[in-house]
Amino acid sequence: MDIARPRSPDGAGPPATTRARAVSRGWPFTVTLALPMPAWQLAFFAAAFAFLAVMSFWQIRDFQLVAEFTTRNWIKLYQISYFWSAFGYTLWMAIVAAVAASLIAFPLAYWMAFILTKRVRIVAVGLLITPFFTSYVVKVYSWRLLLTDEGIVNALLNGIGLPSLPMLNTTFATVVGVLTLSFPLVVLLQYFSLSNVDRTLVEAAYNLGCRPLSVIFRIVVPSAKTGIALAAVFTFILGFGDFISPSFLGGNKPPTMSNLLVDAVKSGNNYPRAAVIAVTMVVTLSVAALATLGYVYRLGRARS
Amino acid sequence: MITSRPVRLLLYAYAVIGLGFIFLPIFTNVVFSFDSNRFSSLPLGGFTTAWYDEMWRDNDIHGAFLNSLVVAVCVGVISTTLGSCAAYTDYRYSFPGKTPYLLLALLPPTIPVAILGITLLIYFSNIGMFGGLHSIVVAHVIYTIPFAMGLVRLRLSQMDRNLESAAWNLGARPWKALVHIVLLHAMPALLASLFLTMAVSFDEFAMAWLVGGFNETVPVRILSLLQREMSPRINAIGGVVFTVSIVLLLLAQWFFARKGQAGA
Repeated sequence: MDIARPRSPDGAGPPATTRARAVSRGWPFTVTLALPMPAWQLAFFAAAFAFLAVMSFWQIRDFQLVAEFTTRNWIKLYQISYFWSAFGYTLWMAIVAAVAASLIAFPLAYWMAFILTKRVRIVAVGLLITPFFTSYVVKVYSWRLLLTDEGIVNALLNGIGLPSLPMLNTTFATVVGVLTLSFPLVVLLQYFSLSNVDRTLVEAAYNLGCRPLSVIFRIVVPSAKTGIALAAVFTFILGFGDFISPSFLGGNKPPTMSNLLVDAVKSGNNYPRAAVIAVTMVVTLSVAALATLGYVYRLGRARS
Repeated sequence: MITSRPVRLLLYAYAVIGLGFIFLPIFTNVVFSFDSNRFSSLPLGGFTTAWYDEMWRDNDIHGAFLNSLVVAVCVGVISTTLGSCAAYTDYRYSFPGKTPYLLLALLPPTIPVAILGITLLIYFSNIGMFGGLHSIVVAHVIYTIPFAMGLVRLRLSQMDRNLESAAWNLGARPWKALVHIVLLHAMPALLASLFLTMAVSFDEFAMAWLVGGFNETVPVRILSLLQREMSPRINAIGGVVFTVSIVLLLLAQWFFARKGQAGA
């Protein structure tokens, strides 16, 4: 790998460039800066996933993991019906979360991109970034207090004369939890792509007599579709892989893929089974993400 | 953009509700951490700091905070160092294999933490690295490198490409130019990255729970309390956790916003 060749400095005068090459940084300099990150990620991240994939083909004999090739882990798990019901439910729940987040976030992102002044916009970005990085576990606990049968939301409902709603331990609660995690990020991603929409195009549409809603659906959304799709994919990934909301808000009814994954290790101590579940999840997520983004990308090419 | 007045008002109202949804759990947590009811619901019972007192007397919580602090500082320093080096490499060099190089840095946060945690648990058990604070540090560094790298890379792209070679022409050795020119220019981003990665590490629960063994960090402690009870003590812990991470995030944003001002 010819890592040591400096990129030619843009717009540098010839003397500076020649001199720069003459002083060349030297390979120890380059290697010291370039290698730590890939070394770390290869040693711990890539190696861990490679090991996981290999180990999904190992056997357990007398409660010991043995490095002998078998496809039994895969066949056995794929024959279990509750595995497929968990897979289907998780897929469905993640799609619901992704669609809900995208729809609910859009007016907010639109408001930030097209209505706010620059100063307020910076504050709004800060207001979205900060909660995204604050404790998910504590927020889920708060949602339990809000959604439980004698909880805050039901107390408010009773206060205005409405009956209590059973909300905890439902898919609704799970989706609320997943949105808590992803919603600020979805708004931000949508906002970034909306702020890149060509304003002259929007104004031209208005001048030509296009109605506001029609401008949104025919100009704004198609121009910002990559960011919108990316935000939806992000929510899908977070929803598909989450185990906190399904456990503490959804009540494990029905279990999700992550519940099965964590159970396989924590309760079953069955590492090969966990490996099969994890590999299945990673493959599903990659296929879903690449297919969605690829589809959106092709849509764009077909239009232009 | 032409938007009629009623639509604008409607959008403002919507935005308030949307931001309200985002802040509702944080707000709820803080309010009920000072409420005297043993079961957190309406109507409010009255002001108390009893739950915070109870929390301060809990030795498990002290240990968890200490663990979280140690892990967060290690993660912040290692992640910022690795991320900055990679950001500089991306900024300065083009080489075959750059796409996989960047993917290696950027991929981890796109994988759900439960999968990452289980994968690392299995791997660490196999290579004898399971069950210590160091396991949590390694896991969190994998996850936070792209945040550090992104912040520093953004900052570097605002730097004049020729500053470094100008320093060489004036006789500086490459390392000296790196420290005095690049490092100085990137310092606000380095500090922002330090605080952001610390905040992410401080709040991460799944990997810490899965690879840490008996070493509990604060979110893991909360998780195990959650499995047993619904106690207002969790609200008090949550109040402290929110305060710590919001302070870290404000510091990160404050340093990162200083870009336009200092120097080139």
